[in-house]
Amino acid sequence: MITVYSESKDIVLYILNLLHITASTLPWYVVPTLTSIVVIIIAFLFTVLNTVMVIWVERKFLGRFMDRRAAMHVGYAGLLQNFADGIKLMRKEFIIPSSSDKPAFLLSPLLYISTTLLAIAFLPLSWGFYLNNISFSLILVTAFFSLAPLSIFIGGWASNNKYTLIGGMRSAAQMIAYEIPMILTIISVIILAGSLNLTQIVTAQYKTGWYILPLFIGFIVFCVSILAEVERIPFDLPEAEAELVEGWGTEYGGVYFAFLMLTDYLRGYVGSALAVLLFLGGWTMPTYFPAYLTAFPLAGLIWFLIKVYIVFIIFVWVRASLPRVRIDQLLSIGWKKLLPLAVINLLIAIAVVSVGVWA
Amino acid sequence: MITDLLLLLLSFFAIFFAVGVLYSREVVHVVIYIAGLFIDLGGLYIVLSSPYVGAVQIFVYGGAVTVLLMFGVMLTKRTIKEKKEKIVTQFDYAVIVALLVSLYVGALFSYTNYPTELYYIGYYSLSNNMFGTYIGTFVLLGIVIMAAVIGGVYIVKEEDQL
Repeated sequence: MITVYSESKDIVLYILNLLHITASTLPWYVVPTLTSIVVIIIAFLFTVLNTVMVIWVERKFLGRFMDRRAAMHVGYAGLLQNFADGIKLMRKEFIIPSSSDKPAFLLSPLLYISTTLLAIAFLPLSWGFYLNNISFSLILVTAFFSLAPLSIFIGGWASNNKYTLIGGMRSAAQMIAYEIPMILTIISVIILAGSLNLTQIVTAQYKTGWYILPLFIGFIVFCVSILAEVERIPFDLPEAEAELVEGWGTEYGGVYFAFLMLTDYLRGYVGSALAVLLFLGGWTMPTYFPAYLTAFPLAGLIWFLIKVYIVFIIFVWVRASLPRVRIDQLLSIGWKKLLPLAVINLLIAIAVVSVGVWA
Repeated sequence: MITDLLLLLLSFFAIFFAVGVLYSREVVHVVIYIAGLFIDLGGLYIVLSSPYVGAVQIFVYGGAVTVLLMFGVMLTKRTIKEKKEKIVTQFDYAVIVALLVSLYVGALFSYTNYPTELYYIGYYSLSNNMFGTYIGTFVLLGIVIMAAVIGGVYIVKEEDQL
């Protein structure tokens, strides 16, 4: 079986061989350290590339939903448009507002980006494609995912601008409110799988069937909560461009703006990956697939990515179809509809487990 | 070796954040320092080989409690920045007391026998200890915290509202 670690070790040994260094003469910790660095670089590049592709998918599908062709001139079908935009933003001047709180203003995007990237470290993508396989990876992913409201709040406050402050407060309130139904649905999955490890949850689904079948309500609640958590369009009150200019990120320009947008989509990618891992069977293929599809290396990874992109396209579809909700509608959806539904879903999970149908 | 280094680094940052909480002149900065302290303590738990407690610390305190503190700060009057009065007026006495306390705690630590090996604490052993061996302490702690909350409400309420 191909794993990221063994492939990276091969790469490191090959490079050492090119440099005429024999690995056995080095101290014991050199090769594992270099391998870890290569693994981290591979995972980081893979994630960022996927995030850029997610943005491309969103632009193309949104364009089709709006009856137009989206980006199509740079690269084949506009594939390189996002890279061009990124380079343009990086060459722009970065302005720090004179009345802002400078250290907090610079710290907040850093916190936002780094905590989201830390969530990536615990997200397995395939049997061999993970950075670590700690026994409670689901808790850690949600923990780092839930650190974002603080950095958004700090950023909105430090910009010293009324729009950013309102946006930051809305964002923090919304994220805290929608975390509760999200975590309740995650708990229902944990009850069914009997494990906090994402790999074991996927394995359990391979044995018994996807958890979307018994927990369909939970899947809907989870997807709506994820949409609110990553501030996508029905729930993009924090950056409602008609009322708040650009919300909490108004004062950030240049490369900071590029990275904030990238992190927004990175959170969308992590959210759809979590939905696939928890409810849609992860990277495991159906048993009736022919062997030449399931056996070749990286098949699980590609199957997983196909599912992630389908979930993300559904998010784009929601964005194209629904108008933005008002703040009172947001709260009533969160507390009066999603929370009772999440509790019902939890009861269904407990009933299914205690009857023994899905275990 | 790496564990000791990480322990020293995290302890240094914990003290840095704690001092920042005391000496910061801006209320929002205090919340930022407290958030740093919470996440730093989560890191300390992970280094001391009980990563589950560390994850829950980051989850609950870093994610939720700091945002609650932030909302609390937004409800305060924002004129504290202009005032320049000093908190510490008895610096010399404070130094003497701090030295004595650190001497006492250091002596206490050096005469205690600790297990030399770190052993891994997963969530099974954690829940067994919490809801098995130490269930009485756990319930008592909950009652004490609830009493503190009720007492706080009682103190804050005005006389005629009781």
